[in-house]
Order: sequence, then C-alpha cells, then structure tokens
Amino acid sequence: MNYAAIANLVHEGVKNSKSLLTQLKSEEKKLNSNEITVIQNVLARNQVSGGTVAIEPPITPLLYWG
Amino acid sequence: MNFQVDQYFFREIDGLFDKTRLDPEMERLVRVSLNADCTNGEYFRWANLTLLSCECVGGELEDVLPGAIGMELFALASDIFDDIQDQDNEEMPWRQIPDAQAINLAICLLMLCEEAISAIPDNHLYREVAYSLHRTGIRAINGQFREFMYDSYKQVSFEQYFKMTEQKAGSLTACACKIGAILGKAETRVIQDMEQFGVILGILGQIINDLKDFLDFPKKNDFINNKKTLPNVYLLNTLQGEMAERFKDLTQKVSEGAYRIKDMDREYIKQLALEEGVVPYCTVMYEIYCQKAREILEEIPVPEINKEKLKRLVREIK
Repeated sequence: MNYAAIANLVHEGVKNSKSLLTQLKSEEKKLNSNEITVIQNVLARNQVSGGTVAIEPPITPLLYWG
Repeated sequence: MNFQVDQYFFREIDGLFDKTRLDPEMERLVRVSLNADCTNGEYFRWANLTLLSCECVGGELEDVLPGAIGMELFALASDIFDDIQDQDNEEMPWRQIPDAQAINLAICLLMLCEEAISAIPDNHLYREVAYSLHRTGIRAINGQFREFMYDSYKQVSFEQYFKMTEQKAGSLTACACKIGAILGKAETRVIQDMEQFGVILGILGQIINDLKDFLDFPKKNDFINNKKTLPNVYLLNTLQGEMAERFKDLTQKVSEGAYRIKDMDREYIKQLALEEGVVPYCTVMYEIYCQKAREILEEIPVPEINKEKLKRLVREIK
C-alpha cells in the first residue's frame, strides 16, 4: 500500500475537489483500483455532507479493540 | 453481547478466584476492572472476539472458554499498563488507585491469565496458546516502545505509524483471533489467516481511537504528549510551508511543556482538521483496511455461514 500517495490524494481532493481527476491520473500507478474507489467514495460523501463525513463502524463495541 | 455466554465467562472467572484465593481487595479490584470500559452492557469484548474466531472455524464455546478468559485478562493487563504509561483514562478503576498498586493489579492479571489457560486440557493446544500470548506480549511491548520513542520525533512516516500500530494494537486482536482458531482446532493455514484478520481489526480499532481522541483532544493527553496518532501523522506529512511549520511548532512546544494550549489553539486545530481533511483521510484508511479484512475472510476455507459474525465487523459501506 502506498500510504503517502493515498494521503496526498485525499489531501488534494479535500482542498480542491476539481483537481481530483488530474491527481488521480498522476497517482494511478501507485494505487490499486480498490483504493481509488474508496478514496472517490469517501470524498464524494464528504462533499455531499459539507465536510462532515465520518467513519461508520458497525453498531457494536466489538470493533473497539485497541 | 449474549447474556448466556457472558454467564459462562463470569462462571469461569469465579472458578479462577476460587482456585487462586486472591486477597479480597485485589479480587474486588479485578472484578471492578473487568468490563470497566464497557458503556452499553456488552461485556467481555476480548473473550467474545476469541469465541467468534473459534466459532468461525467450527469450534464451540467449551473448547475456547479458558483461552477466551485468558485473552480477556491479558488484554485488561495491557490496558492498565498503557493507561499508567500515558497517564490517561482517569475515570477507570485502576487510575483511581496509586500507580504502584495499579502495576500490581496488572501483573496479577497476567498471572491469572496463565492460570486460566492452564485449564486447556490438550497439552499441545495449551502450549500453542501460551506461546501466542507470550509472543503477543513481546510484539505489543515493541509497539509501545516505538510509540514512546516517536513522541520525541518531529516527523514520523506513514510506514512507521502503521508498523507501530500493527505491533501495538494489531498484535492483541491477532492473538484473540489466533487463539480462537487454535482452540477451534483449525488447520495451520486457517490459523494464520485468522491471525492476519485480527491484525487488521486492531488497526481499525486504533484508527477509530486515534480520530476520536484527536477530535476530543482537550480531554485526552495524546496531543499534549505529542503522540504520533494517525491524524497527527497525516498533518505532519501533508501540510506544507508556513502551515506545516506552525503545526510542528505548536505540537513541539506543547509536548515539551513550554506552552499551555489556549482556546485559540483549540480552534486552530479544529479548523485544521476540517480544512485539511483529517476525518476523510482516516475514513479512507479505515475503509481500505476493512476491505483487506473482507478479502482475508473470503479466502478462509470454512462455510460462509460461519463467517457471518466476523463479516459484520468489517462490512462494506455503500
């Protein structure tokens, strides 16, 4: 997983959603298609919610290990 | 979670107390500390994870009970050590007694864990479980050691963060899943897959915790201690120019104790989180890891119905 590429893409996408497509093209080789889909989905939800996207863990505390 | 299953867990713990004859005050402390962080009546999350993993590979409650209780006690001991080191979670019972006694309590829990797993009747399985717990302890301590080392670093890479998180949080969840699979008598390959699934569960939990604590930073010590949480690492790696300098400068000054956070700094951090995409980034990483966990589950050669409960933990978000 290319952590830096994911972070840069999210950062750019949040700062300027119009440049996301250009960014996606330049980072395409560093990310796999699943990662790109997740990033696009989250950024789209973030835009629709007006910047208040949130992690939606299952409704169970079982996930709160750690 | 399941009232009937919880009763089995409570009974197993009562049995442990009968055998070990702890000092009554120590026994009381262990009892109030178990499930102390549970806010909605869903008890024994570590024992339950061990049980879910055992059921996933076709095992049953009675196979896994000693290992599940051992895991619960082991994880509680780790939590206590962690809170003493971080001076965090002051509302917990172990933070309301002197640190020296809290350390005693945690050591006692580790010994009770050993006692619990010694009830595993099959000698080979017992050795496998004991080995897993010991290796987990070492991995978690390495992760914790790294975390403290990073407190003084100005910059930490994403690779360093995720490696540390795998060790610190992932090792415990991996151990619960592995013990469940071992006691469910799974094949070696399945045990390894379950362990890998567990590592990811730990990372997911850590991402949630890191984000929650970052957004609630006035009440938590992570920011003050310059902990390299995921939001912090993200900002350190993506901010540029003057903004990067201001953020680094603030975290450094606060962690050195040279500066007390003011209301305007709180506002600044909140604004930064919103404008720079801290929440979307953590959400992306959370969902990517969920996807990895689902892929691992897909590959495990057990009936689909057995995987249902574990799948629900990492379900897809549409």
